[in-house]
Amino acid sequence: MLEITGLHVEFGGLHALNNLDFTVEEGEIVAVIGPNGAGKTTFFNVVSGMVKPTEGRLLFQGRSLLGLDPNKITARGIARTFQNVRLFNNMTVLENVMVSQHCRTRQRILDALLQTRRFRTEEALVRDRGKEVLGFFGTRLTGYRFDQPASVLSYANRRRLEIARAMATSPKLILLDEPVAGMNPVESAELTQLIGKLRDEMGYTIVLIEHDMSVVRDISDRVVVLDHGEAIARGTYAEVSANPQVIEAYLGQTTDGS
Amino acid sequence: MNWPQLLITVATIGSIFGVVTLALNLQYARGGMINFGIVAYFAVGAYTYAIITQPPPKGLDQYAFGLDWPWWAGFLLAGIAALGFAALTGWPTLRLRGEYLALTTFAFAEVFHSFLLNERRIGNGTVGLSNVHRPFGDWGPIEEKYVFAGAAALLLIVTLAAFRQLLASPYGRALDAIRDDEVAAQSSGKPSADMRRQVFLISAVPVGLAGAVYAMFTTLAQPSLFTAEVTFVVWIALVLGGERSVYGAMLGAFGLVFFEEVVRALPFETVRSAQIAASVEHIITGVLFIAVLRYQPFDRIQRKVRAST
Repeated sequence: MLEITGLHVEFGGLHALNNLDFTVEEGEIVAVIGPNGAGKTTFFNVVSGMVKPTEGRLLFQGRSLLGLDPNKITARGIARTFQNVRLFNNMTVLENVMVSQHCRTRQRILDALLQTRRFRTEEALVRDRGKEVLGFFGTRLTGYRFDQPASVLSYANRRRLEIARAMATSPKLILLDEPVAGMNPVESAELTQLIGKLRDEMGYTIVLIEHDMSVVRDISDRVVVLDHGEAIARGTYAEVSANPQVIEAYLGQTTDGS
Repeated sequence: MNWPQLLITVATIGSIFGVVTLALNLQYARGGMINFGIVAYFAVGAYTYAIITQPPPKGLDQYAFGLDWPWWAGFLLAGIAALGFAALTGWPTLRLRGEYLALTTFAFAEVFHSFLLNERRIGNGTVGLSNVHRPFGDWGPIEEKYVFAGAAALLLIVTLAAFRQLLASPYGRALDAIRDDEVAAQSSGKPSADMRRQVFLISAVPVGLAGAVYAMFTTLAQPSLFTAEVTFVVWIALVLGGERSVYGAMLGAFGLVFFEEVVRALPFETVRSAQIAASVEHIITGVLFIAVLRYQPFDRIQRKVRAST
């Protein structure tokens, strides 16, 4: 579904990503791990169109994503969340998910000005669909929460809402940047389960960046380890966690290792 | 003091500037764009209207174009001309943000102002175009000035309704999203640069129309009417009223125009006292400005209204 070959990203003289190959099959959950500064978020930024790669091929469902603006990439079916949660804080919970369906509706300025029938039915549809998406998170984001501004939500709920907003764009592939960061173990376990449901019930393909190894172990089909912008290992969690290069990248060189 | 006359003038001028303030409110509060050259779009509307409706040149006239078309053609074309001017100026400048955009728009307006001052064939140079066609006249028993105030108020109401409709729609929601977090908005599928450009273009239309009404009202299209001062009056109105609400922006415009007109209408015995009054006007404007910003009366009223509903 996602095929990346020979990807280079340079910022000035710094190689943020170096000759990266990466494939994701439909229906997979792939975890990207690696120490801080390994290029994980840069990788997400490239796939979502926020950073233009210096070199390399980027195919999604057989079509190139190179040179597309972020909004076009979202329209192609890739949605993402951010490491440091980015919500529309002055808007309500429901509006946050309604607004991101905009790229799937045929809404035009003239329709809004004239309040055409098409406008009104579409608006009702968007509202219902927004509630449906929020309902996916149980009662945490429904009921009285619909009309609360996003800024008053708890940290965990903000993360959930961000995922809901990504879901509302009707994507095929979702990129989750540290989805359980800052959550307590109970919340983290719950969200892990939910990510599994996202794939099993909603049919999304998922790539996630995560530092919490229990999450990675529990849900990922495959793990890709990045270090200094290069993929140093790939495989199942068990394979990767036994890889000496990976242990070295995480823990530093052992004294007798060299 | 002739209060009825004063109030009619305030209603007319206030409505005209209210339209411009609303447009600025849309650009700044919803689109995040600082336009310090708004007077240029206003002037484009006024000049377009004057040129379209004036008779062809004769005798000592220096201008080269006069189409002598009916008023409604001039009015509509004023809006279209402002839209065109916005497209022309927005194309190179809208890649800029914040203070950089403010500076370039300001520069554009100044360039346009000196163009009007020096170009005789189009706008008749410093003299400008006078005797601009006034369409309405008396409507039966209703005097022309009332008709005029009504027309200006109608333009304001239609602009307000259109903007409100637009902002209450998904389009407005998308604009709010871009204002809240542009990166997140892009990744939710919002073409933020395109939408910002659209807002810039849409909001120029009522400004051009207001310019046309202003030219009808003053029967003039002169460079001296369209200095940077107009831009700043509108910005002050916007800041006074609070940029978060469309009603605040309108109140600010009316309040400012009212204050100016009252000072202007004060009777003076001597030239000296009039001169003093002119400086005092500036001082009082400044003090009021500070007081409003410090105590934010309009915001308070709004909060109260919201709390009671």
